[in-house]
Amino acid sequence: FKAVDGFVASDRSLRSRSHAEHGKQWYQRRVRGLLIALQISCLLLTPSLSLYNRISTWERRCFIEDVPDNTMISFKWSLHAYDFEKDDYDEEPTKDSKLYLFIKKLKMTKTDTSSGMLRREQELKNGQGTVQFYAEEFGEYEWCFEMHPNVGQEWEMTTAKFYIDVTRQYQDEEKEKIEDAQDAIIHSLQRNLRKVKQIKTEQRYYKGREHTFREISYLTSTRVLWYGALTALTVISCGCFMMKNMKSFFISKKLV
Amino acid sequence: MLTYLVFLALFGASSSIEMTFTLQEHEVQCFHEVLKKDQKFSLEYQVISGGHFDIDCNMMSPNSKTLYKETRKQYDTFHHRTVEAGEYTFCFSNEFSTFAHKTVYFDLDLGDDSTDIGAEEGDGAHATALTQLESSAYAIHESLRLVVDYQNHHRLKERIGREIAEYLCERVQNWSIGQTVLIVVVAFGQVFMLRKLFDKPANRGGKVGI
Repeated sequence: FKAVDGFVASDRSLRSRSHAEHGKQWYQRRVRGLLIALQISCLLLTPSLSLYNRISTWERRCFIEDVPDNTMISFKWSLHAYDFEKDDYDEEPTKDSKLYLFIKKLKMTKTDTSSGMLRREQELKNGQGTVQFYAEEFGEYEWCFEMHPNVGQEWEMTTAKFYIDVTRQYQDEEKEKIEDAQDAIIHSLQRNLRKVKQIKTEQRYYKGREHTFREISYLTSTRVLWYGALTALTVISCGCFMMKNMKSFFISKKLV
Repeated sequence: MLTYLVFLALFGASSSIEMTFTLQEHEVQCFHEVLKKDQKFSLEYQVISGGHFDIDCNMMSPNSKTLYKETRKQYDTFHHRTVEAGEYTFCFSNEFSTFAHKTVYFDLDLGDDSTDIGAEEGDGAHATALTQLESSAYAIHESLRLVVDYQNHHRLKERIGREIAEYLCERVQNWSIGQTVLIVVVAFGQVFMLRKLFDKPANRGGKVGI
């Protein structure tokens, strides 16, 4: 494996493999609501983050993850601040930069009461790391990263390069033993099997969401029917009321 | 070992980065990615919530040449092969929108030259290294990749559809209630106005000419 690091530097399955090992240990000792200390993932690969975004002080970058139940979401991040003296961004992650993370579950439908609450609020230090979150319920999770000014530099507005990468790991993948197979066929078959399990998990989730969609459509059609009937009834009764009222009024005024 | 390496080279060289992010009104967000020379990539994006579900997108090469520019698109795919190595930038702009904040999904698929087993038919060394079993495993992998892709599209379209359905459901209720109340108010108002017209002048308190 080490020999082909150059080829597979940004391969997703290998990244998820290193996260699977993290996930297994985490799964075994998980405690609800425990703040996760940062994990620098450097097992098989050097941090191979390549996609970045520019972020300024007090700016928020929000990402939405739509996952089935029992999924481990991992965000690998790295922050390189702008150095005014060098007039360029730092080569290495800036150690004294401050980043705040807010994880919130978004409402699935308008009537969903269990979501909208803040699930996690965490300060991210040391300029780089991996944040992991175990999503027990299915749905959409909003991850917001907010850059705060460094200590002692509250009035300075700085920009930084924010490297970000996200991986998802479904529950089926954890229980599977990841073997370092020498045989290429077995390796590719294992890889295909992992992908099939991923597709299976996702499809089960989408089936549930389609069910929600159908229920909303059915509710809309019911509402259209009953509110339409109510409106028609209101029109008829108002008309009758008006006619009766005006008739009695004109009769009392001796106009008819 | 060589077969294994070749196999891994074929499977392992491509990667994809997919993300869903939110974009506030009047905001522009740019993503940068360092790419090698002669590398194939494809960028796919889709707006999954907000306003008219449209966004501006543009992509620039390292020497600031515009590779792709589209305005107010709901979804699109852009394939390109890089001519030079360097940092490529793609930006999503919501500047035209006054109060709608959007959620955009994008998928940057980086493929490498050596993954094209079909395109390299003339390359005898690669063809003989793989047995039928290996090539069918590769074919399965490619099909699965497509399945994941289609499933993802389906998920995004379902999400858009569901959001419109929810919006419709609420709107139906609000407007129906509003309409009913309006009908009642108009009915009472009409009766009141008509009755007022027939009031005697003395009751109105105006001057009566005798």
